[in-house]
Amino acid sequence: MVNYILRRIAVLVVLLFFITIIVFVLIQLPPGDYVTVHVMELQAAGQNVQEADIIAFKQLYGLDKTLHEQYFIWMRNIFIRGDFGMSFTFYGQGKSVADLLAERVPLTAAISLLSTLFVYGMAVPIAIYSATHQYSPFDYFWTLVGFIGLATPSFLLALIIMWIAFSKFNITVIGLFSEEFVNAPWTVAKLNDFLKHVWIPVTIIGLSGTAGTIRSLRATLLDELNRQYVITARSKGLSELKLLFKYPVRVAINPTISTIGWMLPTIISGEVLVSMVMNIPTTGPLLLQALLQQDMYLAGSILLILSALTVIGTLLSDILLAWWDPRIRYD
Amino acid sequence: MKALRTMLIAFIVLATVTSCSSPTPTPVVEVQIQKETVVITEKEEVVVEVTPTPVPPPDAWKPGMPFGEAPMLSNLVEAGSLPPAEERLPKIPCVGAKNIPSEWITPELGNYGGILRMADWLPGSWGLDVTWIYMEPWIHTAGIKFDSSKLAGNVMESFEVTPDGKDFTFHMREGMKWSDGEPLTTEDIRFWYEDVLLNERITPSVPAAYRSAQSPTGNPMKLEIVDEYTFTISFDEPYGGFLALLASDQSPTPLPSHFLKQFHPDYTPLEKLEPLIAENGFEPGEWWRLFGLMNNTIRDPGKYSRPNLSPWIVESVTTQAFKLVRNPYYFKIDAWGNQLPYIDYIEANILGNAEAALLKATAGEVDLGARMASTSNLPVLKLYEEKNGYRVMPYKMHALLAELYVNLTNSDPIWRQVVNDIRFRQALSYAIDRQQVIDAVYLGFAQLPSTIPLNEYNPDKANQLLDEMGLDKRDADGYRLGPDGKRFVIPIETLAVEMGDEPATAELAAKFWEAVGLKVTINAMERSLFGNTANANESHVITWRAHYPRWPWVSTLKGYAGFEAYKTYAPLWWDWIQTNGAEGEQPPEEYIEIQDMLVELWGTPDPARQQELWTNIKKIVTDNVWMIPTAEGTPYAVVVNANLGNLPETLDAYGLEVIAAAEMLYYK
Repeated sequence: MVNYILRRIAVLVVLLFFITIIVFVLIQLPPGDYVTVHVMELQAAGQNVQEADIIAFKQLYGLDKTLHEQYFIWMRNIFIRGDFGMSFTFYGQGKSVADLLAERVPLTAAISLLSTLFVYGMAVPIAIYSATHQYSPFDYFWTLVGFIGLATPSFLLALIIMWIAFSKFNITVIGLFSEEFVNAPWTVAKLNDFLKHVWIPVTIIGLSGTAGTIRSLRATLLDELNRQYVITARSKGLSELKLLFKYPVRVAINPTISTIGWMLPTIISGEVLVSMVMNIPTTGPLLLQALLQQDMYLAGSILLILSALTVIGTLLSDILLAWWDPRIRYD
Repeated sequence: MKALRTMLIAFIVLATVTSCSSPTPTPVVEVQIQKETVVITEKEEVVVEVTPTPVPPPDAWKPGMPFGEAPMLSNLVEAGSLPPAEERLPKIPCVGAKNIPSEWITPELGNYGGILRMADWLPGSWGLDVTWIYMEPWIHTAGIKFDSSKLAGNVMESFEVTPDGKDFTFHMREGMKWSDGEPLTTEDIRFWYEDVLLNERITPSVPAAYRSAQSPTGNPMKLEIVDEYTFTISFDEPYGGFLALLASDQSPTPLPSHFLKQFHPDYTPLEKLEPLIAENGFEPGEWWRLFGLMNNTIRDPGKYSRPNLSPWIVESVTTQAFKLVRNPYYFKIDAWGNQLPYIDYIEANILGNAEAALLKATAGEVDLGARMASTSNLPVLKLYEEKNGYRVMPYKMHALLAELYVNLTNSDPIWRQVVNDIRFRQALSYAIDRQQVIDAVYLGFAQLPSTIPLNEYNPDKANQLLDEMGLDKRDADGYRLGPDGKRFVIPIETLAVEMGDEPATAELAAKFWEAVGLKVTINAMERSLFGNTANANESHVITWRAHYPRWPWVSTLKGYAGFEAYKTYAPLWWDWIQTNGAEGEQPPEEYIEIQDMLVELWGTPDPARQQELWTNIKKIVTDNVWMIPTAEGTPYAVVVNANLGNLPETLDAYGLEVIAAAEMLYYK
């Protein structure tokens, strides 16, 4: 087991190194750089930017250095100081990539964790009940809801809910805080305000996940319920509830556990579309903007962290599964 | 929200189709309803020739009289943490916002207090509207268009120009202070000039704006400090347009030398700066990056707060919102001697996208905002106006967003051959029914183009010109064939996500050109890709800006001469002029002529000569059909809280200027 984990970690380090290079090169691929985009923005806003300013901007952002110098500085600062560098977009505000992540990641993680709790809290009981009561009205109802949940893109759902909230109740359900709390430090009142806002995006983001989990858990559980070992256990007089949770549920939940590690990057990345539509300050829209604006250290750092988490998440998943399911071998 | 907008767009398109498919355009009932919900008051054409002198109120403030101040400041003064108003304001403060002409509004006495909520979606910024509020140019011209007869001091108290247009003497306001209470003097001007403008690390080369007659090859300005409050800027050639520069958003801002000297190696040894340089993630010795960071006006105040001259200063910053608080040392007063601004705070929300800002505005959660009030959003904004306590004011726009520019130097030889025939461009112009553009894209709030007066709609003439020039053969689908015998296709490059005028205009243009047998494709692009395409000479026909009311007085916004933030109609000609013939391609005589006239226009101090040159430039552009205008005088709606006072009621006011004068606004 230990050997297995060590081997996986060694591969992981090499993989991450290649990821940094790929990420850096990919972000540089589009023509121009951040200064090009920034100058266009300034000019389109009617501001006076001349050739001389462009050179000054390049010096200011360190874009006058060669590509490999830029890569080297970025990597060195990450390894030596844990400094992910500066964000060009938010340079004016004096915010580094680390500051931005510190602002966004906790909120993103809160939303992701809450929606994961929502997904499992809703999906597991419903799926078990549906499987054990197959073709009952309850099962049909949740099948219908499940299909709607799967078929409706969550951003569309977000739009519909925003529209209903606005036109019927005259409230704007955008953002995570009321205006007076946006820049305020955390207090009980701010937490209260956060909880008042957060349930809508959590429900919307969680809905498709819930639907998916219900369907897959129900299907695997149905397969298990008619197995020999279940019949044997029942014939031995085991209580129905104990039987269910001790054997078939444990087997049926396997696919869910093996994908739990994939959650790790999604907890940080946040849901992009819903966040964009509902104006939720997660890292998703931040990454999208960074890519559009060629804000390379910000985009690169987020991508790097996400890749690292994906790789680590897969590792964790494997370890978790190995512990959960004694049938797994370590080769 | 999206659904409603889509419906509206579908509806407008439908209305357009209906109105043009019927031979005699009968008034379509729905269209009328649409318009009625939008129209606020009938506009009147007011031509103002003389500047009426504003009548001061009988109890007006005169030098020597005491100042009024906001309660939040007088509390601080009483507590002893702030000096009294007499010590904070200059001896002669600026009275009112000088960019607002008296024909627009006579300001009323306002109340202090309140929060101004604003919204934008440009990441990393505090929003374009706040940018305009923040700006304090050296001098002001009343109204949006530069007019040398309507100038007044702003940051500078007054100025004199020698008749040859070479020497400009400025008198600063004695006793004027930075937002940290330090005095603003000629030392700040000297620092800006000697230690920043002439420092090659910070300013690699002096921008053309500070060279004689704005010529890239002209000699840089010279600065002479007369005393603590007087200085002279001189050029070796006449530079009459320098005042236009100073009266606009391009005006330099004095730099807080007492603050910035801490980060400049001429004043603070580099060794002392190194820890700070490293702390901010720069490489050793890169002091200019630290300097740039510290000089940024929108920075999170934190440890090093940069002093400003603006009406509000930054209190806190996150990626989602800026909170700004009144500058206790702001140098303007109202006519009664009360220090401006009236409103205590600005809360600028930076949202994820334009739709979120629109939703906020319709819910009445935006007190002042123009960015979300694009023409296509007007109907939905009007819908909730009364219910949610705001007003939509369709003021005038400082630019037209979607004029058509045909690329004359695209590398495709067939394209070049066709579009360089003037008959082709004339045909494109004649084929466009501009009244329909005005009705469909601008909901009727616009006029026919008059600056570049190409506004005749005559499809027969267009067909005739196209036939004459040899595009008379057509393929099986009825499209004209190019000189190579293949179908001639006009790709229009437009912007996907902008104010909405661009794709709508492109679609209408496509419809009109298809009607005369030309195949058109539309390519809606993301902004930076669009800009790269235009600048790389890869565009064909672009929809792009024309800042008519500000022409010709913005040096980077002159689409008529080939460059309006991006290269417009002949990128290679533009390059040729910019590089003195080293790059690009030799332009025709007329083009070189307008570039020469532009240099003279910026140079001459004589307003009559300036006018004459501008008339000639416009004539050459019009005669050559170098751009195809579609409309003029479009609206720039501003969403305002219904309780805000001191807003011009006349719709002849320019929205941008109204926003820039936010220090005058107050809650009734």
